[in-house]
Amino acid sequence: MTSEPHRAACGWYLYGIVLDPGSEALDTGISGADAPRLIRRGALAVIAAPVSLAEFGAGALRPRLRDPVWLEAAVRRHHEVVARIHSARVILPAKFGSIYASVDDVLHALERGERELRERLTALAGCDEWSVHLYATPHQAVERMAARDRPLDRLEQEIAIASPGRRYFLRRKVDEARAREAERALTELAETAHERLAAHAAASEIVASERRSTPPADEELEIEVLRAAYLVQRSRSPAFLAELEQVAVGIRDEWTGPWPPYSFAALESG
Amino acid sequence: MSQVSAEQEFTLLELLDRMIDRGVVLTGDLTISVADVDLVAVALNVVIASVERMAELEA
Repeated sequence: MTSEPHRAACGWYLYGIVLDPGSEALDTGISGADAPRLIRRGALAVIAAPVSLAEFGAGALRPRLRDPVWLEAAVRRHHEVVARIHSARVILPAKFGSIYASVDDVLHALERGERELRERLTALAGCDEWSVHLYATPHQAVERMAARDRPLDRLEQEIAIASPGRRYFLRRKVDEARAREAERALTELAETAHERLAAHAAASEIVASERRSTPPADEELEIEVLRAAYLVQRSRSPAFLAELEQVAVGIRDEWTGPWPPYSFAALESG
Repeated sequence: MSQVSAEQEFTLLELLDRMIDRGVVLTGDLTISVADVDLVAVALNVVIASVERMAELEA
């Protein structure tokens, strides 16, 4: 089906790119006039649906994105189509809300990027994305450190018996050293956790973290130390999740998955 | 270890967290729109709205 919709004010909403599935049927879970369809070009195919420009045109989209009800429906539809295809074959999810004036325009872009798109699809074959957040307090991080600063403990004992003037001086020295230790501990915790998880992954991406040069002064205050996405071969998912369980002992984690490879679909060139 | 949600039951925030500014972009000559920049602000609004709603419910 490569024909344009008959109504003039229509665009094409792009869900994703797949390798041409040949004669295999493609189940997108949606039927009807605006159902996503498979449009082939060379070794690749796009999954796209006709959409009304009254709803998805450049001017119309902006205000609608601020409407939580409309947004949720559109986001869920995008995810459901992508996830359904992802469960059966490798897909490069398109960026949410990518709308084109014509199918030919999409296909030209597909042709131009064919080699790179095929490489990306090959890299993602058989993989799921997992999202991981790790949270820890400076105290928890320090407890976990491989080499703790033992001399600080001795200094603490010295403070207890020191004169008031010397006590103030020692106190500041210890506090500064403790802050540096906490900073090192949080960094070490995040880096070690990420390395251990990435060892089970085909690719990984650190999205962000609240880890900063100055850790919170309150050593019981929890911060997000790692927010990352991991691309994991399905056969390695159990090992990845087991590693996550180990990594999260004594701290707090949140994870979601398996996801289609949203974080690993973008091309290097753009 | 806490899994935030089951496979099929992601919240809007989790979906936005995965989908904002991610995914492949085919740059066509006639690209009408790629909703990216706006979505970050939208996600923030969703967070604020849900926090406010929780506060209302608790009040």
